Amino acid sequence: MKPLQTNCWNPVEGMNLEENALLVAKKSKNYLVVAGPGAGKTELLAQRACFLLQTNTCKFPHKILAISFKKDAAYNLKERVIKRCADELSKRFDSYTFDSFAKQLLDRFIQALPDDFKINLDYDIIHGDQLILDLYESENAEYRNTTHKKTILAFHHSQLPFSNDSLEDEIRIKVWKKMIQQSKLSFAMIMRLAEYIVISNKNIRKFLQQTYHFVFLDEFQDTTEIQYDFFKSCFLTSKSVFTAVGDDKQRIMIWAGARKTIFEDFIAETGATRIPLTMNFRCAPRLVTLLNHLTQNLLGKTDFATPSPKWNNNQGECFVWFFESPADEMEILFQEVKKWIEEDGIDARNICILVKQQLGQYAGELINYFNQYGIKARDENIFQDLLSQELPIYIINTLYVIFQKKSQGRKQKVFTFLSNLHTELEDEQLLKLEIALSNFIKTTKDKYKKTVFTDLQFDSLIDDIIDFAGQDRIRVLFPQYKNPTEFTRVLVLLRDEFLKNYETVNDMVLALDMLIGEDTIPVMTIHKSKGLEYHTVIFIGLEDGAFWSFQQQEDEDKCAFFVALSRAKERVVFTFSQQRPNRFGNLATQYRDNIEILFQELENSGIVEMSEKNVD
Amino acid sequence: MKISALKIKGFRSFGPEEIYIPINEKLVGFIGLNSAGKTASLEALKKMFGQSLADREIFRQDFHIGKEEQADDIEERILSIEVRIDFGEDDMEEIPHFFADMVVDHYDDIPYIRLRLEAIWRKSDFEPEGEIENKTYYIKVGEDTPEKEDDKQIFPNHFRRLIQVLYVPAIRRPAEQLKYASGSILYRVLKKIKWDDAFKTEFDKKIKEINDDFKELHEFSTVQNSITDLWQQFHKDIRYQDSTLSFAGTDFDSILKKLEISFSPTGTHKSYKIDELGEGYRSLFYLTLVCALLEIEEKLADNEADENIGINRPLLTILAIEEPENHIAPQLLGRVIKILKTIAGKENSQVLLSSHTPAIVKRLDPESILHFRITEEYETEVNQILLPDKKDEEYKYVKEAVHNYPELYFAKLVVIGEGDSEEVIFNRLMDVMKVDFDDNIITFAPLGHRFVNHIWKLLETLHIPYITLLDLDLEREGGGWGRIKYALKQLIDKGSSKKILLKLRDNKYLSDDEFERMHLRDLKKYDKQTLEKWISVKLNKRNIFFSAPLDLDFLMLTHYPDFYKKAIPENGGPQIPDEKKQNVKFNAKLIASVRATLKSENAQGESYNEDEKKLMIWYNYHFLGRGKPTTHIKVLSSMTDDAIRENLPEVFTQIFDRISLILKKD
Repeated sequence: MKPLQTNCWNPVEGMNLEENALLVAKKSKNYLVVAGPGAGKTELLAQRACFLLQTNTCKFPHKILAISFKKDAAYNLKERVIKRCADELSKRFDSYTFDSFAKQLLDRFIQALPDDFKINLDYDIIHGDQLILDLYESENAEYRNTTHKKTILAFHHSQLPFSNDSLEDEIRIKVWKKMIQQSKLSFAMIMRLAEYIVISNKNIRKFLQQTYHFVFLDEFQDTTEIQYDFFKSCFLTSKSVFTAVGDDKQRIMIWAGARKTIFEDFIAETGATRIPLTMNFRCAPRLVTLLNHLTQNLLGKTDFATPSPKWNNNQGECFVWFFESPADEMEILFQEVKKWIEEDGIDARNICILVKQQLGQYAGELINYFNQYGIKARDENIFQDLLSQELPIYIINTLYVIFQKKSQGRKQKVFTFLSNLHTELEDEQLLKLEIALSNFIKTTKDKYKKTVFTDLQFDSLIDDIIDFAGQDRIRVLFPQYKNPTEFTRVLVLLRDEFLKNYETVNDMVLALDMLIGEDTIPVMTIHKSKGLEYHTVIFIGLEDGAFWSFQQQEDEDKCAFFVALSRAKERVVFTFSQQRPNRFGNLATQYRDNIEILFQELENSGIVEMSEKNVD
Repeated sequence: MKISALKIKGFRSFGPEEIYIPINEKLVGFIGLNSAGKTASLEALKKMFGQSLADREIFRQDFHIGKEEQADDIEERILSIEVRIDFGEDDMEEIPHFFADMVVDHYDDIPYIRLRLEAIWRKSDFEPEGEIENKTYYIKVGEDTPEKEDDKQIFPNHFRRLIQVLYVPAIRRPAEQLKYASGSILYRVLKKIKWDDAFKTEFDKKIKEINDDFKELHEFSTVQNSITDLWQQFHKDIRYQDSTLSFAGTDFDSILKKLEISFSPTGTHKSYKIDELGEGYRSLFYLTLVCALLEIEEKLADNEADENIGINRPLLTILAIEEPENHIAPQLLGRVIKILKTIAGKENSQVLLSSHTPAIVKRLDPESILHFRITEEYETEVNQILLPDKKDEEYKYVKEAVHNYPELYFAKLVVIGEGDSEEVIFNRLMDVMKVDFDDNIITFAPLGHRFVNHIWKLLETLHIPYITLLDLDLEREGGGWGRIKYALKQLIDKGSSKKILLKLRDNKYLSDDEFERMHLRDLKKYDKQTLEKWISVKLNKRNIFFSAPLDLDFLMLTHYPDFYKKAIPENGGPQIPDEKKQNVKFNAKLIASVRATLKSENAQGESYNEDEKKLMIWYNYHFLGRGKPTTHIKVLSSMTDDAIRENLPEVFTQIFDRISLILKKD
């Protein structure tokens, strides 16, 4: 492939990039891109990747490393680059999450750890903090009981190697030793170990830096202390060029350890230039006006956005609906949504129901109600994980190809997955693989033609599909499945979710449609909605109860509110119900005193229509 | 990047135990006798990195069959060929290709990659030759880590272009490589040229002109018209009604196929084609071509980066050349090695050669030599040449020694003597004793100097049996007991049991202290007989013999005194005062001769008898003053075989008995 001249390069697919974005896409300079919702930050990274690869500015064979926060974001970014550049070029675009990048470094170079840290490669990943806290407790109860949980965890996960100056250090060393013995690591520990390899083995560091001449950091405002350390240990001493994108108005991960001063630190340490983007391509003009109003009056910032000219100026609406009870809320929302879907023709996939936290408590009943009366809705949290992984996607696509008549696009995806597993094949052999795939589809179709699926049959079907690709090949290409527990977990999850659907519809294709969420309203928490966008967003529970920590972390909760609002392209509905079940399921009275400022500013904007809704 | 090790298992002569072949230099020589596995190793690389599918195809006969096995009884067989590739300071541009597949073994290791070809053969009811499956993998764990099935990741096919093997078989056919045919060297060279469209258009125009010119020739058109007319009379199918007479294959590729290289001036009326060159020059030209290819690839690589994002040239070229000495006159071998060294000197290339010619071997560093042999199990074994530490004096000596006696590597048996005399005498004795050194591949090496222990170690690693004949040097500095102690000590060093070696009669042992002081032993207390006992019981058994009591020259002199006394020029020979008439003078001469012979002002010659002392005068004359070998040559040529046999020193009988014994065992 002939490299494009840098001055001949234009954004792929005729996308319009604003001037600053174009600058960032093309310059070999460290940038911190600060932009609000809908500015196309991810798109900017995808375009920049295309520029670097197509013009050979990221010189062959050097690569680009993109680090995202969520699996689906990493997957999504990679897909975009594959779509925009040739397949051949996009092979040099590696898209990871922070966790997966650290884990594959550790797993591959585990032998480079000093003996004290040598851990079994089949280590288990622990979620949650309890085990760590318990170990501190058993090591030194006094320390555990006199120290705040957050302090202990931060201390436990501080940078390696250990220092050995104090009693605390000794306790920490013992706890690490125990965990290494028991082959148990937290993700933060994995990252610290990976970082330690990079710090202590200068060859690995040099080779790593040599491989990635460009590094992208997505959702940069959420970068934690540990992640930032890791990034710095890997790349700060290199000549690699960094592009970080983020938005401090969407900083909602402080509670999870995001570093508050990350923007300032990054600029100081990498010499990056801060550059704003002002377009908001996502939201309709009136919503942009609302967001600008909140930016100024709620968040105290001045970076205002401009809507895309593709809209009419009167587009975009925002409501606050007050209800007497969750039952009313449920019924009225149902009627409205039904109308939007049936009369306005809005795809259910394009309507999102958001809650702050405790999804079951705020939306559990509502999901049941919707489903009962014929609008599919579901808790999307588990599916985000499942549907952004290569293996389940391969299985689902293959199932479609087997059981649905027309699915050429999916067959192509299955074939791409298979040929990535069989990189040793020459063109002619690839043809054979394609024939083998067709045969496999045919025989499998015959084999299961009349099957009524229970877990046994479905398992054996999945086994056939996996065996056709080769389990070892899958494991070796996708290291996350090397751990048998994880491999099984994903498959069991897929099976259970599938069977749940299958039992209600008794049809393979319909069950698959349900599995991938076809015609289904996604319900999720604000934190899971980061980076996503919908035509309509319904936020349930703009109430003190949902924002229970508003007084302690006002900034962060305001940002969360801002994030929820900015997911919508055209319409946002906030609900307030005078009653709401508490965590024991009893109805409790709701207030809005603490978060009064949110209501205030919504009203002040002049955009929002507030009304009481009653069941007639 | 550079291949730093090759590991082969179950491939041809390589048995089921993996053989590790370290490759420490850019130019490496695989040496050893015929069918020791040298070619198999080079072919192994071809199977892995060959350009075409045909190069990489695995056949049934590639799978090893053990000595005792019946091919028909085997149901299944596996083979594997693995390379380890390491990266250096200069290889930074290559890292990105491989970083994701690199591994390490230890803390602070430099990451490297492992590539392995695995093939399996299964008996089959349908295929008479059985079914063969093969795959190439990245091995994603370090060499020291136990490996699991899911540690093997398929090596992507397009990566093969990163590493190329140019395999030059023993039989060279440069004409084939000079054809414009897929895979040939010329093809690859010409493929590098980017013919632009203007050139192609111009080219087509010219070809058309030529065809048109021909058509305008009156005679030519007559022929064409006749054919067409006749043709049309014979059939009516309009599809083929026109027939055209013109030059076929006028497209670009066909013309390129007609390219050939010729050489001039030749001294005859025409220029030579490649096939008309002598075989030696053909071989040289072949190598020249390889050199040119590498150079062109290097030169064009930068331009190509502007044209194409992707792999524009191999990152590593391995020239695997069999027997570079073939067809080449010995005086040209130096040039061949020079070309090979030039190729190896290039940044991205490595040269592996196989050879069984001392003439090639002596031109290689011992460090870059790997010695191949076949074990009793008919399996290949590979050894490195062990050299003493680079800082030591011994290093230079041993390096020099193997450099000067490359025949060592190819011997079935080595006889080590102290110097030139030994060589002359052994050559004659072979005739006398009817042992053909050449036939039995026995090498004589005059390397019995004070570093003989390193030569022993070397031969030991190569599993080549050897017999050593050393001087006893009785009453010389360090001689006598000193020599015994040295030999014993070296035997213990290379692993002989100290217990057995130092065992005395009556279940007693020589203590460490006594052993340490052995060289100080007084010959009066520990007489010659005890010393001879040590030699015959302890050392002769272990193939160490001594020219006793002094050295080989003296031994020959004492056994054939008349012949040596005659070997003087007319009116020559030592001036010897008459023993009776000039007794004082004679005694003075005698004492001086003893001192000179034993190389000490205080030498008494106590352990020598009177006759021996007297012969020391002759010893001085023949062997201290002038060239020793010439004397021996002169004497030996004057003797009949019978005369030699008549009073042959016993040590030779022993040695030749031992030689036959060893050869028989082999």
